[in-house]
Amino acid sequence: MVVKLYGQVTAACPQRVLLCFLEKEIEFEIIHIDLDTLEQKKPEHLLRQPFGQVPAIEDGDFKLFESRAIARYYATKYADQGTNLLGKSLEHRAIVDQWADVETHYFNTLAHPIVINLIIKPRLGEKCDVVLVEELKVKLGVVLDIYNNRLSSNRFLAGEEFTMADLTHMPAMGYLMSITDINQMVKARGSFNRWWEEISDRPSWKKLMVLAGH
Amino acid sequence: MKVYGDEMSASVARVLLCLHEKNTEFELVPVNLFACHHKLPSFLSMNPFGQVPALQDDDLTLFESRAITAYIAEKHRDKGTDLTRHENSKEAAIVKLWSEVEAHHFNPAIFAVINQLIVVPLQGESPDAAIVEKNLEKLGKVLDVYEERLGKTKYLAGDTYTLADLHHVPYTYYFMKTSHAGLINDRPNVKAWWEDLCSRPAFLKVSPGLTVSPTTN
Repeated sequence: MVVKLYGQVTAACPQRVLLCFLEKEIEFEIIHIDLDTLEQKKPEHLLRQPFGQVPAIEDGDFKLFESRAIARYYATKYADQGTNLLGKSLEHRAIVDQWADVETHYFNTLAHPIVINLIIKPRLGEKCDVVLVEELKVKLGVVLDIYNNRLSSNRFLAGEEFTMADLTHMPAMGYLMSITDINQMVKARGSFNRWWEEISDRPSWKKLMVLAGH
Repeated sequence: MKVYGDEMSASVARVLLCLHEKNTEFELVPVNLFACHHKLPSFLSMNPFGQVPALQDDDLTLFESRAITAYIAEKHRDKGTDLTRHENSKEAAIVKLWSEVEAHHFNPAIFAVINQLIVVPLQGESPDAAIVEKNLEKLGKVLDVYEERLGKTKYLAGDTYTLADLHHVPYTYYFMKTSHAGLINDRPNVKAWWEDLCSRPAFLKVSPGLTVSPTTN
């Protein structure tokens, strides 16, 4: 029996889990939850995910939601298979956790509303908050400078190997790079751009983009 | 272990709670937040984002309070409270799940309220009532999910206290000082859970340091 992932393959949070599955060579089945018709808010899905979001997983009797918790569970369960995403020693694992938490508290808090306003709202015919987006871009520039500095002396965020700390950024980065201004901000930061080009060249990313219809 | 920060910071308190739960000795190295010492180069070399806490343990320097608590909980897994359910991978995943819920759903809403009612006045500004109202509504919806969950389990991740509960404590303590404590008190399961968290010895050691109060409500 393969793990079932409930979600939409083009959405960032399911993509985080899919990248983990691809890096760890784990077989999976995607059960499409249609975000355009708000299927994620319907009673059947709320039983899987009480906040009405995607993804959720079912693996036999085991059920989980929150993409970062799901990715971590599978990275731990299949530690000896595929890419080591969690770090090799207690101290290395702590550094991986640190930069993964930076994604939650500094990167996603800016990337998410930027993507909502510049990509999702236009699709839904809603008005973008232009003032907010400009403020967010300034803050993002400051954060990207910190990342750029980190990546000038480290190949990846947690050191010399690709880990969950890098993976967790990728879905939002994919969206951000499709926005011209942000694309330029990234390219203007040499080390950060080098990192993005390297991680988006990984087979897992390329397979994900095919799954997502690109 | 050295923790750099100030006891009144919720993020620092998160780490102190974990250290006390694990009966681990530590030294708190004060960082004067009012004098912005957390923005000085000496601190930025530990945390480039300029926020407390930072941890030093031998050669390791760490920032992000929840990465620090995970490190302490794993390093000292065999003593004190079992904060991660590490012996069972599925239970450990459920701890991570509810820790993610705190980080992504609970914290942004409660922090926005605390920021307006406690931090902003300290900076000489007036709270933005619209931000408070919007985030109280979001927090209420999150607490509805918690109310249902805590009707099934004693703690968020199951029947024992874990990091998933601990991470909530400092900002909830500050929130209960505001006039909006009803959001907790009006939900019987959430209220019982909160009262239980406040009865723990580690909480009684850390809460006296959480000294700031709302100047307006």
